Amino acid sequence: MRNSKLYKGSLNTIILKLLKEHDKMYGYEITQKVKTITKGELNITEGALYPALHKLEAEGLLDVEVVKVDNRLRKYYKLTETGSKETVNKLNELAEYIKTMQALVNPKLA
Amino acid sequence: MNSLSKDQIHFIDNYLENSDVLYADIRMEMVDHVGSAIEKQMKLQKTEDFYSVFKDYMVASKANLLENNKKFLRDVDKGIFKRLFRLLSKPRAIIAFILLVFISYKVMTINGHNSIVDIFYWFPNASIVPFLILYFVMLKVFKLSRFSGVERLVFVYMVFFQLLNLLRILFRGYFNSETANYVIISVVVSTMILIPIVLLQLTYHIMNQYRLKYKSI
Repeated sequence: MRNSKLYKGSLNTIILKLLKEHDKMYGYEITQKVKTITKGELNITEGALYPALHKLEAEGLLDVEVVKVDNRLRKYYKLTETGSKETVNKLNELAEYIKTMQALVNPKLA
Repeated sequence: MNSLSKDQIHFIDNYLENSDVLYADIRMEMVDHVGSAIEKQMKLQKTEDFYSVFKDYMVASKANLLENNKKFLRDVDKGIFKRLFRLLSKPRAIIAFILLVFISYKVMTINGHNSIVDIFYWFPNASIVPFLILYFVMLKVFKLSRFSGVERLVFVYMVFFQLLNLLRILFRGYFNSETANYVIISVVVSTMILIPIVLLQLTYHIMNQYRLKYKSI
């Protein structure tokens, strides 16, 4: 990843968006999905992903389900009703941000 | 190569526990993360050598995993304090506080302030007993693992225990004087009663939450 600071502020939105598209996901699955979609450009580390997931869970945006899979326990995350609403808000905010940045750095494309 | 065996998972779990990832909830998630990463790597490398892949993975990612653990514990502590203050600012707690102040004031006007001051001396010490009983019941009867939210409560209890003791030391001389103001005594004593009760309520909530969340284990 070239500049992790630029992506840091959008981590919650990325997680919420992925969970909106998938019924439920676990931590490692999220990191791999992001890696695949961004063709390896964005590599979310454990130290960034799990605190973000736990914060979203504490805020009531995510619900968890613990299931036994392949000899171990797996914690699945899914959106709550509030989480689904918040995802729409966050995506709109991000779209606005991208539009503003586009107008600033490349006015021709804006 | 399909998935890791029970022994291999147990090996990862032990390794993380020995690396100070003590609490079951965070370790469980890390074990799954490490296990999934190793399975993928073994598949890519077409190897059955679990220990070699594990060693390479830990060299590359251990610092990140432990950073996650540190952040997790900080967030757990913050979360407990936030929930405690939320409970204390609820109308129910405020009404209870006003009632306690009123009752203790009335008792003092009838029986003198020595009757209430006794509570002031034993309550902080006694307040730890219900927590220990609840902790024992959850761990032994409900077989709850060492979960972060439960164990970090001990830290929160210690902070408040020290605070209540400080209050006790600060007000001891004043409470024993004949000129002590009954309203001040009522407020201090009510604070000392309310905080442990709300803490106990929070302990029950947190323990029950873990019991329900991890009932499939």
